[in-house]
Amino acid sequence: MSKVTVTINGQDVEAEAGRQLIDVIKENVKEEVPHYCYHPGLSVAASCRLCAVEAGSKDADGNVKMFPKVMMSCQMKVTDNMVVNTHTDKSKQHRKEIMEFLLINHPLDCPVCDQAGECGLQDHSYNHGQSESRFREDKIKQPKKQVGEKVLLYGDRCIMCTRCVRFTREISGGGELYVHERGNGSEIDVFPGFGVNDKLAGNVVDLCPVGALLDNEFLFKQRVWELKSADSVCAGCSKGCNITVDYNKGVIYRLKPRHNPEVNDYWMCDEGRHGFKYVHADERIKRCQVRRDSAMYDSSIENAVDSAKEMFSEFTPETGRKLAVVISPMASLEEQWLAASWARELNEQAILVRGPVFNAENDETFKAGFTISKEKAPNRRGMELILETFGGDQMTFTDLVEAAGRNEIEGIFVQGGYPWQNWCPDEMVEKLRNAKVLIVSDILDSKLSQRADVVFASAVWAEKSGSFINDQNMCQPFEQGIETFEVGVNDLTVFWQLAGRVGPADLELVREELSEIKNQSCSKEQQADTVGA
Amino acid sequence: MSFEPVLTKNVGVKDSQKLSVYVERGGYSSLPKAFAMKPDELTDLVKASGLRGRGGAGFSAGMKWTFLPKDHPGPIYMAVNFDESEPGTFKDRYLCDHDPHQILEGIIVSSYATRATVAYIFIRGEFHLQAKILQKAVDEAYEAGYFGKNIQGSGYDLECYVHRGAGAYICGEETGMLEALEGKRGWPRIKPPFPAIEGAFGKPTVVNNVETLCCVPHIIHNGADWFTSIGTEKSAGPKLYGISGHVNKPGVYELPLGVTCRDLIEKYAGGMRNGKKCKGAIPGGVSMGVLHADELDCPLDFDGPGQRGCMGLGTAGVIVMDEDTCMVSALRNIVHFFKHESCGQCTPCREGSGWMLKTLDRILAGEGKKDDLDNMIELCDAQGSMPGKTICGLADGTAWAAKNFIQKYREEFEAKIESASAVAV
Ligand SMILES: Cc1cc2nc3c(=O)[nH]c(=O)nc-3n(C[C@H](O)[C@H](O)[C@H](O)COP(=O)(O)O)c2cc1C
Ligand code: SF4
Ligand code: SF4
Ligand code: FES
Repeated sequence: MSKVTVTINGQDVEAEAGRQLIDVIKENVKEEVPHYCYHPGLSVAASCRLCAVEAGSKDADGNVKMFPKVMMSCQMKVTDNMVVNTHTDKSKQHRKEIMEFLLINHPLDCPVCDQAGECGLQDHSYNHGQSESRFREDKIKQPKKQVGEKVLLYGDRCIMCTRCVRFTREISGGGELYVHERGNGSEIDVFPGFGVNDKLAGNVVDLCPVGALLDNEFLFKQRVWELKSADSVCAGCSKGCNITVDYNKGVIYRLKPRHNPEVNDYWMCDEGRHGFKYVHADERIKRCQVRRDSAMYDSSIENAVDSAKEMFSEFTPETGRKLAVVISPMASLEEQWLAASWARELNEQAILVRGPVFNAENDETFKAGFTISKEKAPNRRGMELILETFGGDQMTFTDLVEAAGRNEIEGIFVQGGYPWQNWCPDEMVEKLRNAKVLIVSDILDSKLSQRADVVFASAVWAEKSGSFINDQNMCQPFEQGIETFEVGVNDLTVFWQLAGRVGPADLELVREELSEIKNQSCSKEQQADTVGA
Repeated sequence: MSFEPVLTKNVGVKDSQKLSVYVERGGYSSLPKAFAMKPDELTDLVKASGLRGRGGAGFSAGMKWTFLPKDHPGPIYMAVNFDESEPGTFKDRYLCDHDPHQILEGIIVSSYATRATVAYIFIRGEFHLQAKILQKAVDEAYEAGYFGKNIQGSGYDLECYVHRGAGAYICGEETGMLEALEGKRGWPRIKPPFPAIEGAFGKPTVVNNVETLCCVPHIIHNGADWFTSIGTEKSAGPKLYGISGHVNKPGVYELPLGVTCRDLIEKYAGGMRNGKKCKGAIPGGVSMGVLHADELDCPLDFDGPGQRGCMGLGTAGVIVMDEDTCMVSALRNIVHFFKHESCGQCTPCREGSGWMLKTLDRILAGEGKKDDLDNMIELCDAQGSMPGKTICGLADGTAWAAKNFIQKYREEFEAKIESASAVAV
């Protein structure tokens, strides 16, 4: 790509030729140039007319010639010797007038609007508008309607930016949304019997710069200024969409996509978006448990670790007893690494077992290329990497079950973490139970955990920091949002303590230990850029 | 100097819509002459004639044709703008009613000049009768070998389709028309790219008005000098003036460009109806603004109206209003039209037109406020919130009409508001 020089507010700036001016301004000017219809993931509409700047060009002698009209910065591509002034009286006045226009038919029902607090209209009015309107007529009223099973439209609040329409046409491809009527009577709508119901539907809510499109699952649940956010990675499939976990007081209220051009662009799917309910399910295993005689008792992690250690003390190489440790594709790379390290330290002949990976029938690919992976595990690649690294005796989960059924395995540690209770069917549990020692780390109560000797209350992805390696072989770190029921307990602490390491589990140290194998085999360590659109 | 009408010379001739009659009267004879020239020579000829677009903007036709990419490998399209929906404008319809083959001849020679291989005629949705006339003429022309492969043995191929609109003014804006032609909602496109580079179906496209194209065969016959000898220096050629409103003989008149508004009313349209005085005249479709009664000596060429605060000549569809006309109601009517026809993409046009209509309705309902007029002027003035700030020219039209009416008839607007306040007290 060739570079061009653009003079923005008197400063020479280098930029790649052909980029949208609005993006170059955003990266180089502290003061904001507001916009609505523009979205870097969609085609350019240039219809809201908000992003106006003054622009022109400089000739070889340095003479500057400006266009007489204000220009829309979202529409222009940067060219060499372009001259741009973003905060002239003329452009500021123009933006003020656009804000006035946009508010004349807007209901200003911010107190009951979910978008309040993260609303482009509120923010831009405050920063670029005026406190008084010259408008003294009645506002247009438009209906509320359900435009998808989980997408609600408040027509009154729509500012006709058409982002949502462009999304369903260009990205998801269903084209369900369209503009009905014209002019001042324009409304976003769907045809009778059709709705925005595909698996990318929820993105239209994120795209809507005002509170016109709303997610029924989030509706009236929280004021957004109460929410805290953690940068995370979706655990729904092996694509690994970069997301933020929005939570308050230990409760997750919503997941939103974070921009990562190499993984999910600006989007995520609704399976992931709405798929976090199990995090707060009653069936969560809230405490570690230890079996005494035939009953299970709640226990501290220390006590559970001590019990497990004692049971596994019979599994040193000299005893000749067979030990198998299941490495889960749901666990973080760091947890998988510690689990395998612990197993092989305890007994270098320990069998490492490939945890089951559950697959849907097919990948699902949408118009612009967004693909939901059929592999419903975030870290299958991490699991494989650990198995490749440690080598030695290995088997699949099914083989383990069969071997246990034949009484060939005496000690089993199962790392679980699947978001379904019955991921290990009852017949399999019974076979596994043949082993003398069965220890489980899992998140949801199940036959498996009920039949174990020790149960570790494990953490879901939102409750811990770690990394997943996605299906493109990118290692993606994620950070903790909410706390686990038992503060600080996750597989990292479990294996850290089982291995007899001192002090609290140190994620950074584990990452350092891991760095060599990771660097050799991952295409890159991916850090999503957190700049939203 | 006597002026011979050329565009309307077949009007009144029996069966003038028929190909045989048209050919008998010299029709399609520009084709051999055109085919004997190279396309670029033809373009140069049209450029030299000074022919300016008759669709409203008055852009040089020959010049526009040169914007097409040279040596373009794929198809080039001709898109004929027959959406004619500007209030007060009915000249293209008149051409079609009386002489549809003249349009087709214009299309053929202009397509040849621009190397277009397919011509789409985009006809206004409400023109049911004209669509029939035109389709019949196209069918006849195909049969006679004026369309299709190897036209008249020239080696030049041209297909022609009549495409009916669905009844929206905005589909007359050239890029709105292209969207509609592609089967989409008629939302004007952002420019660049201009149609000459990326037009219909993503291909280079020439967009011209019906009347513009009708001039081309005559230029081929009579030469560029003949064309420039008619009209004024910067506005060459014959022009169809459609006149309506409070005159005795409304209709379409073919005259040299530059006739004054007063002459048009008095000499051609039979003067004011019922002996009334003229209060004002809209020069060329309601988007252009209005000429006050004091400004009737304005030459109706491409520059005259602009020098008197109007946007331009526009379509030369003149609407004459007599002394009994309520200018507030007239403006309200115009703004209602624009509000109704705004496609709604651009914030200033969508919101501004609705806002102004509500304000005018309130004034007419006797609830006007003193600052209403200034507020509207603020929206419409050159530095205001609407003109020059949108994707297409519709918002400019709205603003121009409102600004002209309020500024040129301010006392009448104020009186309306004041009488209202008097009532209100
Ligand atoms: C809102 C709007 C409506 C228009 N409607 C028409 C129309 O009905 N017919 C037409 O020929 N041009 C119309 N135009 C002008 C066209 O955009 C375009 O300039 C013209 O068709 C070009 O042809 P010409 O150069 O031969 O005049 C309209 C423009 C605007 C902004
Ligand atoms: S609903 Fe939202 S995203 Fe869609 S056009 Fe309206 S404001 Fe834009
Ligand atoms: S100016 Fe009006 S009619 Fe033209 S594109 Fe914008 S909204 Fe549509
Ligand atoms: S953001 Fe540029 S016009 Fe809407």
